[in-house]
Amino acid sequence: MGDLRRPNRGPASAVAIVGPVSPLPDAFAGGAIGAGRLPKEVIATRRRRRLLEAAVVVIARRGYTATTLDHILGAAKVGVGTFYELFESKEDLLARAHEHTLAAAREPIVAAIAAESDWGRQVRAALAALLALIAERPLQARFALVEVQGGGPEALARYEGMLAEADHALRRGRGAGALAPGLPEGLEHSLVSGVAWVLQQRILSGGREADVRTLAPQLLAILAEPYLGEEQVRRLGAGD
Amino acid sequence: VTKRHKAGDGESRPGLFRLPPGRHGLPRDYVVRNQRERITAGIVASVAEHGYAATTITSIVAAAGVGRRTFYTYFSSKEECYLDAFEQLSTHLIEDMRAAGKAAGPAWPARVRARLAVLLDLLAANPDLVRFALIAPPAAGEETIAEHYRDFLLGLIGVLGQGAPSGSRKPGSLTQQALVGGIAALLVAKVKAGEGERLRDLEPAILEQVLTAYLGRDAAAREARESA
Repeated sequence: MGDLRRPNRGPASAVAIVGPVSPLPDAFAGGAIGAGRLPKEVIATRRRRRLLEAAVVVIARRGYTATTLDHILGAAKVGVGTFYELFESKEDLLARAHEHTLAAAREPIVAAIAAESDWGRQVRAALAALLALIAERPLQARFALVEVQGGGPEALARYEGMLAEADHALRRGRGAGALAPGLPEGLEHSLVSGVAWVLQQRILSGGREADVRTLAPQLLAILAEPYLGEEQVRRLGAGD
Repeated sequence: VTKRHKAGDGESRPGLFRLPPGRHGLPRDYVVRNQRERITAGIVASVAEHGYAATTITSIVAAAGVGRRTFYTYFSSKEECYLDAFEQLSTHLIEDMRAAGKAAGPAWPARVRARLAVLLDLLAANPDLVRFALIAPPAAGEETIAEHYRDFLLGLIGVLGQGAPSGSRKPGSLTQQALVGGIAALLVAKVKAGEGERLRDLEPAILEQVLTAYLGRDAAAREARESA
């Protein structure tokens, strides 16, 4: 890769006739610049990533059902032959794109949780990280939270797995609050799915409303109040 | 269950009730109503089984036991047929919830409980309705359907919590949205677990959540116990 940035040795015209021959700049060597010089694996990795990213963007814009492989190949500027060297099928590409997007989103949320020790603050931190992702990466959010629900059983199972992970984390609140004993069964699933639905409606409204991050205090109250009670959640919301 | 809920109560389920072909001497408007109901039952059964995207006119008419041409005398597309059935169902559910609340007397928690009980019983009588109205719409990937689905859920929560005592805190629209989105998820999970006939089991947990949103947690837990 280093020789791509070879310093320009200046025009080769007159000197070439007299002195020692200096090679012509790459631009005169014939053939395309760049692609041919990269190792095969690097090119494959780049194309793979381009396809994954194109799949996310195209599906976020068109929806799962209306997206064809041609749309994605066009957006990624990758040929059909190359595509099949990298992925088994359109379904395979979509599944990998979903995994890729979820893994990328999971990282900052998990880090935000790890930075806090108290359950209430962990919920607050996770929520802030999630809302920041949705605000900053709207297409990825639409793909991973909304469109994926139309992506067939495998995609739906992955989406539900993500919610189940959040259910599980929230459930730890049963050990945190004085109010926890006697909370109804299924509460976590209901709270997490309810918040997911609110966020989906926001995403579907296409940014016509205020920044999703402004919802943080209300969503925190929805998630934490059943465990901690009103007063403690108010303090938590105020940054305590 | 009134006769409006035919699509849900089995007697008009496809294949169980079919007009004899040819001249049967039945009044024309009876035939028309019967055909429409069969198509409605047909699309409910087909969407419940295959999902919205994989449902076709062919699968609808097969489940309905009517001809293709009959389908097209009533509807011009799958989407139109779906939305018609969806509207019928949501109107009936919401009307029946409202009526049950009125019949339950003046106490608000008792009204909430009665409305919820009717909703759960109507859906438990035919769990396909949950697949049709709560599982299929988010997976359909169609904007119009997403809008109808959203309006349906907002209508449900509107009628469920209606008439809260003046002393209660009014949950904001965001809290109401989260509440009804969560309730829908509980119904869906129950049906997916193969326990659609036992939706009524969810009543205490859902009741407590609804009351909590309006009364605060302690008062809600007390009311939920007392009205049970």
